[in-house]
Amino acid sequence: MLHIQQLNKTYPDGTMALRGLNLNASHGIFGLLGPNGAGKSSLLRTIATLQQPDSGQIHFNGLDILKEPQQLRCQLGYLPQEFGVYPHLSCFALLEHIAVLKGLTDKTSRQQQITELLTLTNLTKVAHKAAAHFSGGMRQRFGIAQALLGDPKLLILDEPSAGLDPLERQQLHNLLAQISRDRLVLLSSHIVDDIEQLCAQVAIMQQGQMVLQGDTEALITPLQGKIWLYQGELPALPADALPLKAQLLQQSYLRGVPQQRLYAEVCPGDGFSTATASLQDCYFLTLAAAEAQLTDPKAKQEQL
Amino acid sequence: MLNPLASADCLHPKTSQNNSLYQPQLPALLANEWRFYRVQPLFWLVLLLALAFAVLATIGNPPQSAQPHKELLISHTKLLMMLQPLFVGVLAPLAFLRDRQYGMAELTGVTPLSQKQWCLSRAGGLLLLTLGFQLLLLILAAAAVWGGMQPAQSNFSLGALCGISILLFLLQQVPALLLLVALQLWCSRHTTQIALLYLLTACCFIGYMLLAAANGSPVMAKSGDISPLLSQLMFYLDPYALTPWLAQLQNSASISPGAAVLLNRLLIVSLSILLVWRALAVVSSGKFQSATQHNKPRTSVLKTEPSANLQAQSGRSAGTFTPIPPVICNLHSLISLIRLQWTQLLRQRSTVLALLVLSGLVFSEVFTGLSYAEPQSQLQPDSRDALNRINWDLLPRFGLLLLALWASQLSWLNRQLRCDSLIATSPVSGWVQLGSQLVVLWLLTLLLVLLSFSGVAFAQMLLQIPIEAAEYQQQGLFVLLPLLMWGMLLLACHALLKSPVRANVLVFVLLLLALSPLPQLLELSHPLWQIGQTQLQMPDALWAYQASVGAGGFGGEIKQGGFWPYWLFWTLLALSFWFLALQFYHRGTGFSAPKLQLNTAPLLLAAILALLWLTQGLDIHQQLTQAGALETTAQRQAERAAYEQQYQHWQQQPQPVVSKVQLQIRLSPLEQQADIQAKLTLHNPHPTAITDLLLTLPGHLADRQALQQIRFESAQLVQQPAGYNQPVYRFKQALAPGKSTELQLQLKLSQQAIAPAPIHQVLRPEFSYLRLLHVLPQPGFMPELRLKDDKSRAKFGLTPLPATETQPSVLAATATPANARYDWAQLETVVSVPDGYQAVAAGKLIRQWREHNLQYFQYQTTDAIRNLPAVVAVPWQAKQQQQQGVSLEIYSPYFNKNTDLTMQALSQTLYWFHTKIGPYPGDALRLVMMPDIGPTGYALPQLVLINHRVGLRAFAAPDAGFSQVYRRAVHEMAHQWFGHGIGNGVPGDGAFLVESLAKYAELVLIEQHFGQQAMLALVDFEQQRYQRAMAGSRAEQKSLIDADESYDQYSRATLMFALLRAELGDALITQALQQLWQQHRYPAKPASAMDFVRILLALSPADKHGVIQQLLLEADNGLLLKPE
Repeated sequence: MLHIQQLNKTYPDGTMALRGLNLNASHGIFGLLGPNGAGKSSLLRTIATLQQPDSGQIHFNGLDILKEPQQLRCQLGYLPQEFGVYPHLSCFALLEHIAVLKGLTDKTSRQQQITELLTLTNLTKVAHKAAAHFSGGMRQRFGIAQALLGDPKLLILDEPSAGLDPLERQQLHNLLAQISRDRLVLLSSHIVDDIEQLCAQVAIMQQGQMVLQGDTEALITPLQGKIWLYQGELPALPADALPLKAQLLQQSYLRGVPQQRLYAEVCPGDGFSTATASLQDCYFLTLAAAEAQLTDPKAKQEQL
Repeated sequence: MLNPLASADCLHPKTSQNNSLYQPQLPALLANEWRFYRVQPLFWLVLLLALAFAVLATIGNPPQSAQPHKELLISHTKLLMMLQPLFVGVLAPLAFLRDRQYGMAELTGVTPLSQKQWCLSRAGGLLLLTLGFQLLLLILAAAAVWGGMQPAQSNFSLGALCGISILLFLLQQVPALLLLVALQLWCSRHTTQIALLYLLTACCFIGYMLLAAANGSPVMAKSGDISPLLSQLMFYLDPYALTPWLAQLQNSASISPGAAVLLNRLLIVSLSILLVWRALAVVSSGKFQSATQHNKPRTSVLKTEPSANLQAQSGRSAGTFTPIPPVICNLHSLISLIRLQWTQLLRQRSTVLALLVLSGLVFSEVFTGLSYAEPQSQLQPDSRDALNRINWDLLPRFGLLLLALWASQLSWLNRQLRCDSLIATSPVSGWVQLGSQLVVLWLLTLLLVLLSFSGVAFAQMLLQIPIEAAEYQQQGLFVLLPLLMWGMLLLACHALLKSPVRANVLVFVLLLLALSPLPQLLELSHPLWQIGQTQLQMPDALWAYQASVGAGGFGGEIKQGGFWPYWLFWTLLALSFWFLALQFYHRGTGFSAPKLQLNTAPLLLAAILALLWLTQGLDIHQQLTQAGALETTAQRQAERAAYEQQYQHWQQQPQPVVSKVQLQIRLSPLEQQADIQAKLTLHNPHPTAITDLLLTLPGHLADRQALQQIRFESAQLVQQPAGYNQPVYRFKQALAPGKSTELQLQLKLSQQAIAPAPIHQVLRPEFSYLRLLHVLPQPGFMPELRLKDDKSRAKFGLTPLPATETQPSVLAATATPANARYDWAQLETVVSVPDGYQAVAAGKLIRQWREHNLQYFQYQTTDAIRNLPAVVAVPWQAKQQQQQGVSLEIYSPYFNKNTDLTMQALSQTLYWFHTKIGPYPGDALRLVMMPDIGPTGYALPQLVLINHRVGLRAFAAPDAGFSQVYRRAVHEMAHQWFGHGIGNGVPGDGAFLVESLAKYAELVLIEQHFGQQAMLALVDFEQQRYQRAMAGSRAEQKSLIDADESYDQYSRATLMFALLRAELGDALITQALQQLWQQHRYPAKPASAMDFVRILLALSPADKHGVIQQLLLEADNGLLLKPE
């Protein structure tokens, strides 16, 4: 559905946001992961026709969106990372306004869809309150509702679960899973669990480039049996005590007890137990490798 | 470092006491402010722009002043009032609303900074920053005054200048700035809208200018004292203390502040303190907190509802929705966008307030000033007068400022509300988005004009003046069309530039060129530098728009009118920008980098429109060149300097004089043309023969184009008239003493309406008037064409003119100078005009006949008169009366009490002069009402022009002590003796014998026919006028005989004659005038002002000589000033 080739974008201050980026995505939910400043929002804004790339091509269902942005906008739903709303307008009125702009000219069907979306996003009871006075979570739900207006074939959601409580987040997941059957949902998030739960395809960005891209399952499977968990304080080990290519992925806590997750071909030592590999392990491993490549290009080959 | 107090934290270590763990110190906070401002591009931009403007206004244009202390005060006030409100206004939102604007309110709100400290640090930072800027202004003003000081003020030391500068800094700048900053602080505590602060700035900026203009302040051109109450108000509350300071300077040469100035300053400082106190009170009562966090309570309430809902739904799976394929309909989107943007803007308090303020201003301006014609005189106004009060200054200027604000708000509304990406990703085309903005802006413009006109109509209703709908329609169109064009241009600028700051800077520059005197300061005199402006002049009751649109139909014709060509030019530019904007629009986000695609329709259209725009501009330029409207002051000066350098030696060569002028003029007012055939009889009055003749063409280059042919059969052309060259002829046979020869000329004058008609060359259907002095050549060198001003002369390498040629008391100190000579001739004029018109010229009407559908009028003077031929054509009939055998005629579109009073004045003046001074020096006196194009009255030999606004339509106010109509008619009639009888023929003699003696006639005639009270009222009026003019004057004080300032020649002369009458009596003064007339009238030796002084002294008792000399020959005016 979506094909991106050699996309470049440099901002006037010299920041290279996108550097020869390539991406292919078919229908379903496509997860986009990456640390802050990796270029995720720049990529999404460019796909959403908000800004022009310096070079490169973007095609959606055969449509060259750089040449015909208006055609894409007819089938686009977009939720930016941050957005505001007009003052004095109720949630319903604002949705109706955006619906008209999106081409929903028939009043009856438009209002019916708005009602449905308000129900979906749990905003029915506050539909006639001013959207400008909404809390963060409510505003985010409003954003999701407006993105779904019409019949978007491409949904771009930048951090959609930010500000949502666990229940709302779960409902959003259900909704996205349901509507992604015949459309492409581009989902950008810092929450790797969300991406793992929802996305059949995933890409990891760093410094304006795709460093890893593929089916989520296919990316995790090779790590199975190579992720090791150590509970408690990790004793100081001599440098040669760890197996070759071992990589510390994560240091976290579980109910106050330190947890260390390592990537290693073989068991790193006493106290380590195998753990089920996750997308998060893949993410950290990819970032570590990319970082190592930046500091020493040969390191990647040695580590992986 | 997010915490603004972190630096203070480092400087002051925490103590063990909990409540004094951290106490922010004001100096550290102020330093923080500086660290903030120094990295703000807006601060540096406004600083540089303001300084550039100040440099242009001072150093680039140094004032010539004889009173440096007053010059410094006024120059400095001008700079302050132009720049201080704008500087503070631009920075105030940064100072007071930046936390909220940039989403930092919560971060800074939780710092241990008390609200009082917050206020003091923000206001203090702004205050100190602006003081630094103002210090630079003061230095610039002082440097300009120092550079422009005349040598006579060499006793004025640099130390004194510095002393005054420090005084002004402390007493004028600091309190004014305190008030402005306090006002912005107070306002910012009551609103979070930046637009409201900008509106406050605009009100302060425009408000002071309006007040100053209404109060007759010398810092404003064309100002007049309208209300005594307003004067009193400004005396105590003028934020710059200019009013009390100037009042003090009327009676004292010292600039040291008197009690009134100090009281004013005290009031201003008290007002500032009151405002700061109220601003702090807002904080202490908790209003500020609720204003900045007003969302919070509502948010918490709303939050509970969906939570409850979620509980109910927690067991359900997520629902779904029915997708609807979009059907793109631009009309639906357009209507929705228009509706939303319209309500968004109208719901803003700044919009509502601005519209209310404008309506209030309009109503107040019309209601209070509609009947005002001039002091002591009231107009009988109509709708045109009512609309004229606002349509040519207040409404276009204020409207344009509002338009700029709205255009900015509309263009960046989505981005400001951070919903730009939501709208930009919708499938609404940029055309529809921009189109919706344009429609909303145009609707707002329409609302603005409608509200303003409603204010005018309401004022008219209250004043019981009938409302003329047609006038409202016409003037509405003329004010609306330029504003609509501006709306398109401004939106296009915002749409083309991706950054709101850059777009607003561009708009600011456009507004500067359109509204400020910047083009003049930069010496950009071409009318097309005045962005978006047309040359349409205010209509009057006599000839509507004919001053600027010529003979065209409604508002002139596309090719001829002073409105349509310019409006078309600017509209083509706006349209061209508009189509470019459609191509490169950033959709409100500022993200999109435009990609140049040369084959798209909008670009093609923009290019075509740009070509049309250029063509139209070239056409206007050519028309302006043909009309001679592009000649600058510098070019005229250069021409005069070259004339003097090339031909000064002719002054010593004997040259013939014009003894007879025969004119055949075909005036075609409807075609705006005049064909002139002139025959000049040149006579040699000298004892020697004349071989060579210099013909001076006194008009500027444009008039030379009118000269089609010169036939001079008795002479041969030896120098062609080209460039700065004047034609020089050599007689085939030398012109013998006492002999004459004839010179024939053919001229064709045609007038376009592309520029306003020159004041003495008007060819319009309703009123045509030609003064032929500027188009007829004069024999010999004309000393009056030399540059007078020393500085201008020095610029062209000319030495200053000696006092023996320019100072009346010196040049005729003992006797009339030898070069004095009357330039008088017999005039014979035949004028043809279309049916229905009357032609008026000097002399007796010998014959009148009709031929080829034209009316012919033949006038001839019995004797020689001053050689100033002129002709007037009007479609009105005359009212006639005989007095002492002289025909007195008044030509007016209609006749009323004023024309009766004017006739009475003419008759009584003629009788008084006839009996007291000498008989009328002519055959008839014709008075013609003229349009409102400048002077209120103008006298030519046997012909007087009176401005119809004050001479026909205005009547004495109920509390007026005398009639201005009568006074003015007497004054202009008196010029037939004082001005065109005696008072000419002595180069450099000044205006005493012309204007000042006419003021004496006013006093005598008014007292004789209206009583002493009326005369005293006139004296009182002139006293006030004089003292006000003196307050603003920076010219060197001269004796009345040498005076070259109009307030001396008119007002001071009135006061002097009032005193002289009391001292000497009318009999003695009249006797002196009679002697002057008899001894110096044509063809005797011309009279100089000193001749009058000598005769007066000779006739007066010795004990009065002192007072006469003091009043006439000394600069000291102490006897005339009335203590305040």
